[in-house]
Amino acid sequence: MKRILTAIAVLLAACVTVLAQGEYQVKGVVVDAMGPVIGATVVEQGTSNGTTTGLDGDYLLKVSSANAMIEISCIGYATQAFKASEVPAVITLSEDAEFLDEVVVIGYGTVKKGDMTGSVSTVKADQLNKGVAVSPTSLLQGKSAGVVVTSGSGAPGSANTIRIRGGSSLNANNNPLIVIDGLPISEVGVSGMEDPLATINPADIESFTVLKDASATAIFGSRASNGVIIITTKKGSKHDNAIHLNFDATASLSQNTRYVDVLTGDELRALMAKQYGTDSGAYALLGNANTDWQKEVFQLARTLESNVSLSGKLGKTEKFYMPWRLSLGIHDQNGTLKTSKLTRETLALALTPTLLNEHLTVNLNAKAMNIDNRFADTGAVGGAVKYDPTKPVRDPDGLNGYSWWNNGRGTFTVDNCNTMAGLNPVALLNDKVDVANAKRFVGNSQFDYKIHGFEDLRVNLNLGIDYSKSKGSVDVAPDSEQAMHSTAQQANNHASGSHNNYSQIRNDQTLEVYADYSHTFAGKHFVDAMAGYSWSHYYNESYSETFKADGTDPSDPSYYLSNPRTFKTEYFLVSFFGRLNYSFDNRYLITGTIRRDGTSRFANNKWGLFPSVAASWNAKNEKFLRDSRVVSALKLRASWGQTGQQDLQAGNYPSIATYTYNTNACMFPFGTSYITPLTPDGYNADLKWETTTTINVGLDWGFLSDRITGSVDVYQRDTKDLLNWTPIAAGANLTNYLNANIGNLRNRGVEVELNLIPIETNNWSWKLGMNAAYNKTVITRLTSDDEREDYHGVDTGGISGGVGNNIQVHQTGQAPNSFYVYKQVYDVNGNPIEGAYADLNNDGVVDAKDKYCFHKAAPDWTFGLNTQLTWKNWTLAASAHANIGNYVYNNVMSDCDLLSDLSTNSFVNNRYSTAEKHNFQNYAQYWSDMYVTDASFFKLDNVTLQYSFSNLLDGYYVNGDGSKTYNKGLNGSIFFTVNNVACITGYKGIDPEIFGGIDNNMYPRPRTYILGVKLNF
Amino acid sequence: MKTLKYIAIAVATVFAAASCVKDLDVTPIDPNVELPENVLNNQEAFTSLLAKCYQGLASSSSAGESGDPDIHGVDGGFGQYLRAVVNMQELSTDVMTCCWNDGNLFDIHNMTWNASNEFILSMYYRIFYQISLCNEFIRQSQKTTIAGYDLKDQYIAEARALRLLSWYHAIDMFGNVPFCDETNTVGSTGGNQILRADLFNWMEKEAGELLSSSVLPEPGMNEYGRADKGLVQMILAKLYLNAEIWKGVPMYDKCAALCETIIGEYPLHGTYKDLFCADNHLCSANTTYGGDEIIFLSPQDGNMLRSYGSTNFLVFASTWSNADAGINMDVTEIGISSGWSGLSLTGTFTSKFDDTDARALFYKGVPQYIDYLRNDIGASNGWKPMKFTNVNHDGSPAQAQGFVDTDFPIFRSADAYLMYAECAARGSADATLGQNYLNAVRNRAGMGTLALNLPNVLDERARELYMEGHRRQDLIRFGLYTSADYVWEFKGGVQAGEGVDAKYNLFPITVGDLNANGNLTQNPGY
Repeated sequence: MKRILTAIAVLLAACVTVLAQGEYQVKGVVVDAMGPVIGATVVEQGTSNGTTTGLDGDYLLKVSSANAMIEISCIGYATQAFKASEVPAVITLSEDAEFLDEVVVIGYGTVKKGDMTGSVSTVKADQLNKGVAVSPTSLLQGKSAGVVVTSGSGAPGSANTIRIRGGSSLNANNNPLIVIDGLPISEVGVSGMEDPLATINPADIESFTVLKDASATAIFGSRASNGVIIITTKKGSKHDNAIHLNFDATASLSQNTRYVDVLTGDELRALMAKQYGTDSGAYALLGNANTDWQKEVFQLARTLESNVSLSGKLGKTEKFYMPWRLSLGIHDQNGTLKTSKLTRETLALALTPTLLNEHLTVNLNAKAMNIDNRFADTGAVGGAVKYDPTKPVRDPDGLNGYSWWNNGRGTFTVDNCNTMAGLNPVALLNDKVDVANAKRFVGNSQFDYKIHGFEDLRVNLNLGIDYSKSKGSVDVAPDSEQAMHSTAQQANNHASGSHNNYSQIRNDQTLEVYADYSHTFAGKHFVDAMAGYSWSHYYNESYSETFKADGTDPSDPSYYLSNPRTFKTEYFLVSFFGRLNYSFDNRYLITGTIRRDGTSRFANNKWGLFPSVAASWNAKNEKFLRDSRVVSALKLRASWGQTGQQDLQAGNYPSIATYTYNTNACMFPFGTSYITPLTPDGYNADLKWETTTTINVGLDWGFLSDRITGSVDVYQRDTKDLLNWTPIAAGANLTNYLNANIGNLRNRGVEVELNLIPIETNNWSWKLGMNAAYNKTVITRLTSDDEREDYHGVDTGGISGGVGNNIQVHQTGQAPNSFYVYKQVYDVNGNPIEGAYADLNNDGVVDAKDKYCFHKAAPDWTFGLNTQLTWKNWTLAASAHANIGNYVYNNVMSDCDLLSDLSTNSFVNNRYSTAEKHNFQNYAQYWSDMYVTDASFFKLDNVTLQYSFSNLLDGYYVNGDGSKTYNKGLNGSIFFTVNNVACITGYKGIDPEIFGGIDNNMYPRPRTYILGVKLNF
Repeated sequence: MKTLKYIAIAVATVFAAASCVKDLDVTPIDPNVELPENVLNNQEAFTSLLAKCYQGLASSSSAGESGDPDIHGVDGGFGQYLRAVVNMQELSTDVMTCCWNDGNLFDIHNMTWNASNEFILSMYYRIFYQISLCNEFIRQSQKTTIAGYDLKDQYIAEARALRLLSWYHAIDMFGNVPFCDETNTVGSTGGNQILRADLFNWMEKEAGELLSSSVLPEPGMNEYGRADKGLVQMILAKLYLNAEIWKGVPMYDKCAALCETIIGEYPLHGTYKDLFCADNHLCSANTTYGGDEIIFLSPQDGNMLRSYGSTNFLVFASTWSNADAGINMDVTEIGISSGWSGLSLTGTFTSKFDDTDARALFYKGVPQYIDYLRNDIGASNGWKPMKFTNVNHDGSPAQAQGFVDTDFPIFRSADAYLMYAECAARGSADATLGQNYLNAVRNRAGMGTLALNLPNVLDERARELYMEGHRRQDLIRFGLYTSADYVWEFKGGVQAGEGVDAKYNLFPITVGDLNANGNLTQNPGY
């Protein structure tokens, strides 16, 4: 506060203060223990006045006065500052202990970066993408090798999908475990809030740590099979007694960049004339308009965001001091799809008191969030593609003023509504009110106690809670077009409309306790032993009801479209774990972990045991490298370990016999009374843990005082006893598909990370981070018995068009979700021949046996690139990512490519621009490999230009006694960012980056222009 | 001392941890979910569990028309039991085609299916899901000794009758199938394969036991929606009728004797159309409505029991809409607001009717013969069936237009009349009586006498029973299903129709089960 008050005083006094103008010269030499330091920065504090040391470590700098503060800094060394008049002739820099001993947060503790044995990468806040991000994970895109973040869609608040090194499971959860400030967070969204990580304001994030190999993840045991992302939020500083106020505000505009290439009204009329003739009944269905429905449903959308944080420290004695930080964020975002909107308020409080002469450290984190959503019906996105462009949006004689497809009988009844036709996309958006509110609290208290008198031993207790409560409603007005199209709402030529209420409560609790002993024996033998216990409870309760919205009496048997129904479920995880680290002379390091995990989801096989071991050789600390000025770090790592998976995503009771009551739409009459049937559920009492074994070998390096750093990792992950949703023997169970431990999967890959600082001078700085990863996933086994020759695997990947059609398959020897298609035959002009596929098995007929596996959605290669160029106060930053070898099935095209579907059931569908060229007259070619296309891409994710100012309105304040005090003034920056700048791809659809690889009218990711300001007091 | 303190803390922690380990033994907390041991302690719960065995035939999921389907690997609507029966028994024959681009649906009518076909999968798994439900009911009921469960024996007998119905579908369509009964435990081990003839013997014995015991209600003596001895008599009669194919031993005389009994119990209803309309429950011979002809049915209700299969499929899919031709079938005539435009009758089939036949319930706004399965406007020609409707017998509207009230008549006595006539035509029953029964069925449709011979009986069965799930079985019994001697549009995938391999007389065991159950051998030819 004092600083703020002074700043204000300076502002007020500025006009009357006489700025002292003087000239003072400092010169000298900068050395370290080895000799002169070249390229060290010497700068007058609070100004842009500075220089760098020359070949002999010398410098000369003119400064404003003898009282000016001179700062000498160099990467890898501790920064020093002197009053100009007191600068020594020879400045000796000492190595920055904190820099070398950079601490990495791992499971149940921290470890010095030099002591890491596992594959871990850390991303700091300043490396993160700038711009509008509601979800913290979108900040990670392209930042770490092998971490693939795919944003869900352009919808405000949509959830991202994260895959670390592909996925180790087939049907079970493939999401990494997310740990926020030591608390593992459920990655399941709640109703009304799709993205479970929206709780965290991205502005509060200090760093991400990504744990990739089994040595690093094994200590988290269950749920860590797919890697771990540890998010650490900002805290108050224990080194700084001042109070800091940070404020930022941004305003953004978002706009769609591409639209699906469908026919215009005129083009459609021409095609219809050609297809059916102008005298046909089909042609007579056409209107005169030229409506671009995609333009009608999308809008230019604005977002406003503001964050304020205050941090400081209470207490200054060794007995007690408490750094604190409080932050508030407000985010108000309109979606580009009309009617979609999200507002979010976040509040975060972090208290980190230290008591009892630094023996007890407490870490209290509380994060609260309130989110209001208006969801747009995303059916309008696909609707806008297919809807007849010759129809006007509005029609004074239409339904609710909108044009609609009817059977021409002139009345606004269900009877006259053409319910086979598409819905007017604009009416679909405006006639539906789908709103939700979600509140969430995530908090944990972590107590770390160093035993008095035995300080090598500490005990850590972590208590956490993740509570969320949401509610929402969906209203569809009676006799709106949507209501008429809903079969359940039709009665007596009238559509009842519907009102749905829903709510959800989720409550996850975690208790973890561990003890850690660390000691260095005889100066060279470092031992760190840890043992602990963890208990978590996951509770979920939801409620839903849907009833007719037309005033139907609640006692009417047809009143409820879906009966009020409460759903409750829970599960428990209990674990015992231990870790032993031993290092000799900081050169040879070995880590062993073991974890015993228990889950309530498995009835007969609750427990799994997961060990890991890792070793590393820190070559830099060997005699021959210790004094090297070229090599600043060199470490070889190798690890082996196992992790378990129990989250089979099929409820919490998959292994016990249960019966479930039917809903009211599925009663059964015995005589005149309706009985609620009781359905016995299928179950597998023998379910057990899916186990992933990972082998990882890696090398970390740093050269030239870490101006060049990087790492390379090679891994193989084998998953056995896959928790697989698979057909089981007919008649053996109360279902035909069952969760069972069947099948094996293998991932292999290479990852490279490279960080460069090519230029580091007084005025210029250029940083460059690059990463590349290759991953290949293959299903190595899929059935319990030996596979029969004609078994093609398990169909997956449902598509639009027809009913129940699948485009992908899990097949032994292939990547999961490989596209399973026919090989298209083309004519001499390169145009596809309708219905002509290659007879791949040469049996003389083209049938289902001729389908083949043709590529997959997951990329072979992923790349990330981020760079930052600074010149004086200007910074230009950019980040990009690229995928190679990812394929997409263009379902938008395949579903809009059949000419005979131009007019069916007395309505008109728009077509993809390729339809006339492809000339498919009779059958949609859903399974043609022509729709599976290479969707490799390079995306420039964002570009930011920032101007930083420091000491704005700084100067010398004349004190009452005539002396002068320098005041730093305001620090801050102004920036302009463009998100989703450019995409280079050969893919024809609107966006090649689609998780799952089926392009089916995703809510497009817009381009966003952001203007923002940051102020630090 | 200090060390002791730490040991004490450590011990306390271990005990605390051990007690938390017990948390792993969970029981469901969902109010809609129960453990079997908690549920099966009263008669009401057993009634609900038995109701599931019936509902398994009527709808595809326990959560209405579009909820999580009971069986997986196929769309919920296609996976409905009776829709699968119609797809297998009617769509694969001269009766009808379907113009939808859904998966491998065209392969069914074209008779070019293989063991991966998802529509065959849905029938196969539906049958065994239904058998599993009945097994579970019988298993749990037999175990219980609760007081007040005085309907226990009757309920078990009903579940056995329902199970027998599914075995009937299994022996007819798949022949050699895995066998399982209430003595199996719920797990993942597949049953051993039973040969068709052995299954025949088991079913004959099971039917005999049900008929000779007094626990199953006498024909027509159970309430609406439920099974009685009439159902078992019909299944047994069908077994005898097809014994020559299924067991290799002709048993037409036994069939005729049983049919005569059934005919005595279930008179023909006066008006043919009433049997397939929204309030056709009035034709159920069961006690509740005191009707006549329908021996066993599977109910539908527009509000309470909804499905995208069963009769809902038969009504909605039988429409036609084509702006190009400027003619539209008025779907309000069949009691719905908008149809799905899918099913078309073949010209080969509709040409068997006289115009005056009360059973010729067709929309004729399109050419009679099918010359394309899916034309340039996404439909096929061929007349559209209007046999099943969602209109009450007096012409008043049903309670809802989105889902039908029409019940699916699984067995009705006109079938038994024609079965007797067939046995008579084969020389195994009284010819005069056979002629009388044939005439009775024809007269109800407003048609005159027809000579009693095999081709006439087969055609009469086509006219009387189309879309009710019998046609494929009948054509096989007459040796015409795969043969080149009798063809229809797109039999074998060609417009003129052609003979196909005799292997198609049995459907293949779905490939997923072959991989899951090592005991199985595929049906010949696949």
